[in-house]
Amino acid sequence: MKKTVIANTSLLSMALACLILTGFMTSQVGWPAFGFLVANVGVRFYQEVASKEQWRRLTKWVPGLFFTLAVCLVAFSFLQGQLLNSLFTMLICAQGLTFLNLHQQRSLFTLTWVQMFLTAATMMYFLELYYAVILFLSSLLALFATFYQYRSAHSTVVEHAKQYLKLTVLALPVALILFAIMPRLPPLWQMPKAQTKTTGLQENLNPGDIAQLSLSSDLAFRVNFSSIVPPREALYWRGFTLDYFDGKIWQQSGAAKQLRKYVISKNKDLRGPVQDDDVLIYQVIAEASQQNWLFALDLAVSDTKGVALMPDYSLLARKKLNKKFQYQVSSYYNLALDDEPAYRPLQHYLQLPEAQNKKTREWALAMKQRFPSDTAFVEQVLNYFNQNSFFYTLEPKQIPAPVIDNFMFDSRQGFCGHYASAFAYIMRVAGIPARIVLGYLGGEHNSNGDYYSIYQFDAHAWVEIWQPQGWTRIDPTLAVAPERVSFNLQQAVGRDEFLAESLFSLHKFDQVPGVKSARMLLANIDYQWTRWILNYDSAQQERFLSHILGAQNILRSLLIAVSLIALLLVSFLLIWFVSKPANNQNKLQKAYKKALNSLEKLGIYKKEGETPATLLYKIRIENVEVAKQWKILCTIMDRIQYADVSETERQRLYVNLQSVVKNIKKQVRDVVRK
Amino acid sequence: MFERWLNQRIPASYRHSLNHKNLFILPSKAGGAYLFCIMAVYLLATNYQNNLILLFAYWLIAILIIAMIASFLNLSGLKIQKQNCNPAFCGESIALEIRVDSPKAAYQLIFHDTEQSSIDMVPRGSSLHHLHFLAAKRGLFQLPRIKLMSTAPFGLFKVWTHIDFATEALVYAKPIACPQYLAGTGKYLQAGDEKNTQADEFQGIESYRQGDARSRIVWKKMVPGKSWMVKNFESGQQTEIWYSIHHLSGALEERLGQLTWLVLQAHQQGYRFGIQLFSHDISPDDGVQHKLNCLTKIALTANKEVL
Repeated sequence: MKKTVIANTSLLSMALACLILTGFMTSQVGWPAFGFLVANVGVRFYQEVASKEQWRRLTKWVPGLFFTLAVCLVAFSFLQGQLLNSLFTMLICAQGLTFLNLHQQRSLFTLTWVQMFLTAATMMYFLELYYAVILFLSSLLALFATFYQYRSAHSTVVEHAKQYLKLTVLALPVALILFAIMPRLPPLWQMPKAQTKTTGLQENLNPGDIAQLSLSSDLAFRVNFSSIVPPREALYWRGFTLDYFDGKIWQQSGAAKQLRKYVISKNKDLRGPVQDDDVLIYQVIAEASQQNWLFALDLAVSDTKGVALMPDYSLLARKKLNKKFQYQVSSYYNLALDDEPAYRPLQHYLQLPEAQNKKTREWALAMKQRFPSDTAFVEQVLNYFNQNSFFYTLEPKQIPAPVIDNFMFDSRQGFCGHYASAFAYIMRVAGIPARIVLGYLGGEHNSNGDYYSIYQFDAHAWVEIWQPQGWTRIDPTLAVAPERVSFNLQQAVGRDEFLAESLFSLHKFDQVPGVKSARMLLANIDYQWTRWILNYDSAQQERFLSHILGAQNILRSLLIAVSLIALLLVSFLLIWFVSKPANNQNKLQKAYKKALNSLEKLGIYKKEGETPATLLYKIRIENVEVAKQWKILCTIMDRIQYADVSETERQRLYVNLQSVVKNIKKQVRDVVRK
Repeated sequence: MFERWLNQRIPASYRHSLNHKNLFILPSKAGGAYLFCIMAVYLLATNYQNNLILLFAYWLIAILIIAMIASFLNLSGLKIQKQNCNPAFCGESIALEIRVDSPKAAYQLIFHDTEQSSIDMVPRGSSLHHLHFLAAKRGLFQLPRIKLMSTAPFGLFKVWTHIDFATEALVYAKPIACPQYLAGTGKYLQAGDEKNTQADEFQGIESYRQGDARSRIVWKKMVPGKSWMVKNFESGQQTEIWYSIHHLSGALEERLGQLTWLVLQAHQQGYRFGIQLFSHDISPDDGVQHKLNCLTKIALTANKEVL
């Protein structure tokens, strides 16, 4: 067995690791790279079974072809212009070509190390716990390939894998200690941004968008309330407001967009701290949305670094969320949202396109004449929604322009976006400043971890109108489908429409016994994972250390870390080495000792220097049946120890040995009973 | 300099017990690459502020630490003891037998001897192994310090030591064929050389004794169960062949080589022979002991003993 030869098991383990990882990578680099790797792995395995002649014929053109293919793949990905992805493609192609020529220990090492780096890179995109577990497992497989190279002729794959697992599993607590205690460094330099699709709310309210969201059971964010929890009806998570309407689409005005850019680039806050006794404090962990929006309840203020306070009391992340982001919010639920004359005077919220939706305009003006007070007018409009045959549905028909006229008087089917859009338009026509708020409504309580999960299908749109006391929330959808607010979307629209396109979402099967609690448990594990691993930043680290260890400075915590790790390592490795000789010699001794123990019940004790054969005479005097078995035992032990037998034969002998020992034990028991 | 330090650190001894005092450990080349890889992963984690990657980096570091300890413990506790060392002819390899005692099964042990001997798995308990050294020069050969290493179990670390068994091996001169002298060269400057060519005088047969030349066994009288019989020659009258270094031609090493060949051949033929070296003679005799004695004396002939 020469060192340079790659064992089949190593080959297999490495191939699996590469395939799993590249499978993950397809989300970034597409399927061609995966296909390329599969082809390389396939050809390498073919070599194991092919005859020399077949292989020689193949090597005439295969390496050249594959090399050309790799160059094409890499060139193509560079042309697409995404730096990171083309880098990944290059590495994957290199992995494939290395695998094709995997004949030496050195290539195996190269493969493994590049594999490790690629695994780390993949973790940028797959932060969820189950993905992380799979990625860890795949890197375990890759490392096992090199570990297995140090096998011996006598140990089996399983024995070897056990040894390996003992060592690597031990690495996990050590890693966790390091993770918890080692000080964090700030980013050392700017890296090219990973390109991912944005998720969550879109910037515009364009009927159709929110329906898309409703079909997704992806997590939007999670909230952990410190003390009191507001009732479900109050869980209007504000995202951002839309102040400009062009007759079809609600969006942010140019001024509002300017303001956003200014806040982000100048690192400014446009609102100061607020003082009030009635305050709700909670932690929010937002998922990576690739957007700046953050979500909070009315009149929210946050002092978390990286959160900007906007004039309309919405929160904005200063950087796009390319990973989960945790922030703390104080919501002053008894304070009114005041106006913002410095940025946008109230007049700004009366903007309307002149020429469109004339029918609605006339209807609204007539209504306003009949009910001149704002309160009465609002009530009447909501009544109109409620009394007429408006339907709440996630799958409305396409509405032709003018959208609001047709919705109000013709189709009368729609979801929150349609109602909010129409309602805000009517308010503005009537001279009441109004704006649309996009955000989420409600949330699912997870009792295992005592937190709320807000999913994409909880996305919602409502309206805020200006009243003398401040901006007031009006949810026109409530007039049509009150259950949307007090329960959840699933109950509002029924199961068929809910998540209609995602067949396998567990949310759909909540009625099946056990599914909901299982889903909650999984969700909670993921939440704790996010809270303690993914969002464990230096501030949290400080708190954790001073809480658990009472460590005040870095030096002391480092000392504690080192001693903890040393303790762990020493104890575990001692166990490893003590338990290690699980080799054949030991199996034999164990079996023999068992047999001797049985003999002691017969009153036969092995003296120093007595061999199995000499004991046989003693046993014969006591019991002939036991002696017969003992003789078989002697023969088997002799064969195992001294005969030159093949490995399979040896394994068979061990099995026989075990059964003979059992027989002896049984017979001794029978004798003693008599 | 390094040698001197090594001699102090790991003194020569017939047995060595591997422990922290004599084992060295450093990352192997693969280990260096692994470190580089960890650094890249760590940079990725810090620059993207990604905790999952950071955890992964720490996990890789943890594996590195464990691999280091495991590599050390793999060899630590091994006891290596010198057993036999048989003489060899110059140009051939000397086999040194060693016994390895291990309290546990240990992975991979590579010896830097001439054959790069290696053991895939050192079994628990005692086991015998052979190391090979090239016998480069005639005479007493001081076995060099031997490097013993392992990169198991991960290939990330190289654990090694240099041990000296304080052993000298005897290296016989390399035999050089010279059939023309096989019949004897005669003794140099001595009377009675002509005796050498006389035939042996047969005296009778007697029982075989250990050391009797095989050629003298009376094969015809061999009966199973009975001891072998050998022809006996009266020692005084027996043919005594002399090989003298003075009568051989060539440089010193060449002559010693020829002499070695003659001894081997004469022994095989069952001759009774003596050899004459520069400083002393070995009187005619036969048997294995005599052969070894002659070979040893030839091997140990000092270079300065010239003519």
